[in-house]
Amino acid sequence: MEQIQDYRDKSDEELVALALKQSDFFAQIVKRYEAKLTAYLKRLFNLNREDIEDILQEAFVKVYLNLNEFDGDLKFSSWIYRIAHNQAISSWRKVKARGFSISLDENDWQELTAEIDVADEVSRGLDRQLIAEALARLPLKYREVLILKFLEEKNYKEISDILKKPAGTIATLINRGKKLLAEELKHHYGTD
Amino acid sequence: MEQISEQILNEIKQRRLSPRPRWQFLLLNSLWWLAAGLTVVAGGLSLALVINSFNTNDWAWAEYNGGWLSLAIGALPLAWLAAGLGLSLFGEYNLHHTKNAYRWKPIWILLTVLILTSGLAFGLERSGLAEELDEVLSPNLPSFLLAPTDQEGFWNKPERGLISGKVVEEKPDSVILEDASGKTWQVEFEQEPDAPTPEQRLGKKIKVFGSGDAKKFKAKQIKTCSLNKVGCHLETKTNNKKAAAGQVQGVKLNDKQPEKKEADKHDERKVDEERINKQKGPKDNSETNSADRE
Repeated sequence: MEQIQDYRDKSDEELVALALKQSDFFAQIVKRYEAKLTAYLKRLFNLNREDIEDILQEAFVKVYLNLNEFDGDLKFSSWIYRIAHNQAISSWRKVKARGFSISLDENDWQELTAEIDVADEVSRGLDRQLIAEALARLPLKYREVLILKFLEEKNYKEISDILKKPAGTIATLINRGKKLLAEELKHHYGTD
Repeated sequence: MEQISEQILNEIKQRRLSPRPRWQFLLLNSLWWLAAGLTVVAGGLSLALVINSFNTNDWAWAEYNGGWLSLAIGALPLAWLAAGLGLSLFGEYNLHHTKNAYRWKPIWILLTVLILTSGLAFGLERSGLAEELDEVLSPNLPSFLLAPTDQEGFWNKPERGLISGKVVEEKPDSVILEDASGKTWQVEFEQEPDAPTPEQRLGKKIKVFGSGDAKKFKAKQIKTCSLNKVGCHLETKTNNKKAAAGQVQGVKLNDKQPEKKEADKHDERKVDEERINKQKGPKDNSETNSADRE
């Protein structure tokens, strides 16, 4: 127990250095990011538990194999999110073919409605499910930046590192994504 | 939650996986940088050949050959231009794959590559390397890779007063010229004191501006050309070197010569007097001798 507490105090970079020496330490990295990445993938694609486990397993193996590529040039969390994101994208076609929706937790929709520009009466009428449906209808390039920015609470630099896009492009995508989401909500639910 | 970490650890151990060594990532990134560098250099060389083609073009005769625009288009070695631009795009592609390039917009990467390529091209052209490369490459390349102005026949437009070809015979006031199609022309000109000697012109390619009929051509202006070119192409950069070595280029034959300097006129008068004295000399001597005999 004392040993586990020690690992919790260690930074990501320290854990990477330890995992490179002994693979057992890699389990601590998995434990640290498993829940975060599961939530992220659920928000992004609403994959079922099996799909998420498959993606995470493959993603974590890739993280382990490529541990030496991580050199502190970016945050470890950005790097591991990037690998999981790419793994999810490559698996997404299968998921997309059978249709998908996305899943928002209790507080997620409040975070989003606070950011988007919709009329008060529309905002009051919105519920989690409606926002999730509107978000699911957005193109992936807007959906992913909105989720990373407002639900994962990543800054522009982190989103830029995760998606491998310039920070300026991220800012543009976020602005357009917010407008598109607001329009989507107004169009489908605003006047009814 | 515990299960996934255990599953992954088991998989790592069962498959005996180990992290890929760091040098592989460094090597891959270095290879992308190297490829980007090489494409910039190759693109720079290609564009340097384009600039060289423009610089060595015979702009002074543009009016006889369809005007400046026509000559500018004709001076474009499209293959080199395409290669230069293609390599710049490939350079952008390579640079885009380096580790942190995603932080830059592709347009900025492309502009950077284009600036580097163009800068290198101007540097290579100024250093003379582009011209040397052109001299080596031109004779060995298929003609479609060359600029139209370097092609056989571009400067052979008798209806516009232009013919070009190889001097196959030299006479005191005319040359026999064989053009790209094998047709021979008798080109007449007024011999000028500083015109090339027969040895300097025979076997060389020349451009002639003038007028004439199907066989005879009266030259107003003759320019000698680079020997290594497939077509007839005026050398401008090596002009001074060649001129110093005795090869005169761009000789105006019928145009009014500029007034000679006073010193030159004085020298010529001196030479004439000496010539007259020499001619008089033997006559005077013979008179003297005959007087003595008498």
